[in-house]
Amino acid sequence: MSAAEIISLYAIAAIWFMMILNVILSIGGFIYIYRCNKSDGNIPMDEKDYPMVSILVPAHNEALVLKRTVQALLSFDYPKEKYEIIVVNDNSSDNTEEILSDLAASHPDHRLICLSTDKVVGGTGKSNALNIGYSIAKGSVIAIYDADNTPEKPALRLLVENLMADEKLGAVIGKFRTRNRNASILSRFVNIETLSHQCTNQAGRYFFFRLCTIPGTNYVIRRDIIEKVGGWDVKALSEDTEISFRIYRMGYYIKLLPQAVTWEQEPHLLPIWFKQRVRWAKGNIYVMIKNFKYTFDKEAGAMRFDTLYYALVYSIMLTSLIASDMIFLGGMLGLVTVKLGGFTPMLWGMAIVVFVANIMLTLSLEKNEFSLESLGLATLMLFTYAKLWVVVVAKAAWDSTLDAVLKREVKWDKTVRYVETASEQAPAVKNNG
Amino acid sequence: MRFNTFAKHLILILLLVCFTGRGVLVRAEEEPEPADILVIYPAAMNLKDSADNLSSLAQVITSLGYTADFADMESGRAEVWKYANLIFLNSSEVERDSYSLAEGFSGQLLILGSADHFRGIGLKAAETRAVKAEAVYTFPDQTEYHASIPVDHPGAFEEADTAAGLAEFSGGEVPLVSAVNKNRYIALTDYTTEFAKAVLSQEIAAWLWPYESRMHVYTEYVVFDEVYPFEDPYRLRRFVDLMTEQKMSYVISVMPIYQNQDYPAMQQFCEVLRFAQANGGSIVLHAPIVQNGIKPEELSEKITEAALNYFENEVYPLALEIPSEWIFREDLLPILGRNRTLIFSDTDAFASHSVREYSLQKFISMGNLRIFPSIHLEETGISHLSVNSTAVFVNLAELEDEEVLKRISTAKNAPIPMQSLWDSDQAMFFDGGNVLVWNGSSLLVNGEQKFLEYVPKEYDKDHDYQRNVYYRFVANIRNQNYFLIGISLLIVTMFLVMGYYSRKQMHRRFLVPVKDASKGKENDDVSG
Repeated sequence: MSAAEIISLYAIAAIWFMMILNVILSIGGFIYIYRCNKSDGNIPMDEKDYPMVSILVPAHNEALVLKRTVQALLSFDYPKEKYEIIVVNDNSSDNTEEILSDLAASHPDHRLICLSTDKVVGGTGKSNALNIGYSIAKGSVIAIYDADNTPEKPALRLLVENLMADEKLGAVIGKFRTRNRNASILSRFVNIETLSHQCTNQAGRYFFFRLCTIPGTNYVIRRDIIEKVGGWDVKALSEDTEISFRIYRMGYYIKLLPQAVTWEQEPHLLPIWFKQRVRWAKGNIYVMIKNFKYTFDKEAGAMRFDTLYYALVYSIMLTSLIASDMIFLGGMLGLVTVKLGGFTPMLWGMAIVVFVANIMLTLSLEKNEFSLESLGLATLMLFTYAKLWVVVVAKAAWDSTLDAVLKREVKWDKTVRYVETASEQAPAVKNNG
Repeated sequence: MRFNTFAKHLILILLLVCFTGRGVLVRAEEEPEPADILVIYPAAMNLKDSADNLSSLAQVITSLGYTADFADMESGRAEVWKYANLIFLNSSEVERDSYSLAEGFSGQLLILGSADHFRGIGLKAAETRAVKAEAVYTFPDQTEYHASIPVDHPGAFEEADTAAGLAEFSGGEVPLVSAVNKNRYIALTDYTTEFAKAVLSQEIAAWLWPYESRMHVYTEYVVFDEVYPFEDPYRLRRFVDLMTEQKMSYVISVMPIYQNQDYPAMQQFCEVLRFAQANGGSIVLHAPIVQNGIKPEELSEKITEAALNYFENEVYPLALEIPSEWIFREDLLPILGRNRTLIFSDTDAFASHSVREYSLQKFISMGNLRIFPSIHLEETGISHLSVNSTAVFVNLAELEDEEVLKRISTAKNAPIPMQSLWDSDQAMFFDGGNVLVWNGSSLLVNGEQKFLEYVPKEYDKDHDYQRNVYYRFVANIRNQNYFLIGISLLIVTMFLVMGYYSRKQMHRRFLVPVKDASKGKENDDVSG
């Protein structure tokens, strides 16, 4: 058996293993979201029982999108005297502070705080900004929103009601949707990816293991948990994933509530997307390395699935996809010949069908997303967008290695925002004004 | 003004020179050298049966080492003057045109089929058309063969100086072949049978033989074909011993081996081959079994790898056995040109190519020693022709011992001489500068002399096949393949059912009109 054949066997086995694992998660996610869709997610409480909530919004040069975000936060149907909005104007050089002052002046009945930092205290990343905002927060529940979000009115109330209803819950996360879905083909891919990811990974893992990873926005968390874990890890580029693992270890669950929706702006240009995804992948690799030891710790409970899952994604899935692409390219160029007894190309065809069917199943749970256009995009994604994932993770792995070897300081790259036009927005956003 | 006129003329002249020059050059490049023979067939023969006839004729001509261009009556008329030899396929449907074409031809003429319309060159035709005739023909080894053949206005030269065979039909008889001076006539109209191919081979070879003396006698090779290492080595050894005892020349055509060289079966196989090559037998490398679209470099690499694998086992193939399809692929000709001797496993490719491709001048001009399969006048496949080198294939995997022995015996008793590849110089060139040369007295592989003395070797009889790892794994891939396809179908079916329910749910949530406003809250507060 040649080296190419051994590599091919490895790729076939690893890809199918990961695909079947994801299919199982998808089925669990589907059942969970299907059940959730039967209700509106409300768990009514007496008005006096609603806890004080501090909404933290880290903002570094977010003047282009922040006004819309804060207006959406001010419009929550949560009792207005029971929440405060703390925008951490993190060493911005634009007119973020001015915008916030105007908004505060025009909404005297709301508690809107703008906390500005300079380059000495701030400007080192989201974790640091959250820690600064948290230091002055008064709420017993902390909510986090990114500066480019426009949450729907009931989002905060639904998240808090669900958090209060179960003391085993450490945090409750909502669903995020792509606001600028129609900006480019890339943003359409991102839209499909986020919906699919939330159904497969988030809802699926919650269904089977009561595990969810905090997505970085549109979530509420108990204040005492943050106190116990000592705030957000400033070394982590994926502070959300990192803190999720610490919450697991404390024995809490994290729940996904798909009825609590926020709309956010996603990268519509490849360089911006690439930078953001490399940052996320680097953050996830950091978390994976930090927590992999718990995979073999019997006391770590269901969290062991997550540590193992991350390890599988960033090792087996990455290497098998690289191997598969290399064999494919080598074959096309006539450099590699693989003759495997009993293997038929139909297997590759079925892998494509399962991949696309899996995505379409997750889209079937969403309004305005299940269409022939999406079918075409999902198929196209496999050969384009999904391939980029390999490049992203390979770059992140390389950067992480260099950071470790050269002891470089982890650098936070902010995602670049832009002003959306109405035509770029998803239909549901337009309908909601 | 004068300068302008001069300049215009100059430019015009230059352009004319350029274009004319280019035209001449292009014509010179495109104009192929005429083949040895021009075969003219009536346009009416562009039918399936006729195509078979033409492919058989092309096969005969190529196996004799000649080249032929094929043209229908219309296009051939203008080209006739370029050729020294013209084969004219005639039939009743052809009108008198054919006569004028043949009459004006100054070279050698061979008329096949109907003898009608050729009275001007002394060919007299019988009135009978489209009937069956009983033909008989005696080959140079004095073997007489009978066959039932169709004839169409058969005839003969009135003042023939040579006649051979006989075609007897109701209403008369004519010699199967008659000739006068340099012109020849054969009463055959169907060339697809083995009998017809044999007659044509003999007669075309004689027709083109330029000397008064007897024709050169070519030899026959007995080839144990497609021999694999996994076949019974003791059986092969028995036949090797038999051939050695009877002092018969023979060839063993071995299949290329790329894996598991260390297996005892391979070592034992090579042991027999070493014994054979030390005792007069010669080895040839059978071409790898490949798909038609294979790239030349890939094929060359495979041939090289296979040859080097045999070299490592001290087995030295002297020639390459190839499928006939390869001579129709110009990109493979450089590979064929690297071998002094080529043995053709078949002649099938002629039937799958068109007349335009039958002019194999580039291949023929490479000058290989070409050994074509013998024409099967009888079951044993033993040839009765010595007009070209032929191979009599003995496939041990397909034939019982009795049949193999019968063939060996017939070959031994046949008047056609048998030859060994060791009797002529051999050379094979491979990738990476690897080369094997046999100069009649010494064998050189990459410049190093190799000796053919047989020295028995010890080989590992307790070989670890690692079957637990490899074979189970490979066997499992087939099962896994089906399993995964089955799982996929199950998953997709399940997804379809789930998708149906989710779309039904979405329909209820967003499309069904709300009758009771007080109960319709959930329809209003979800925007996703």
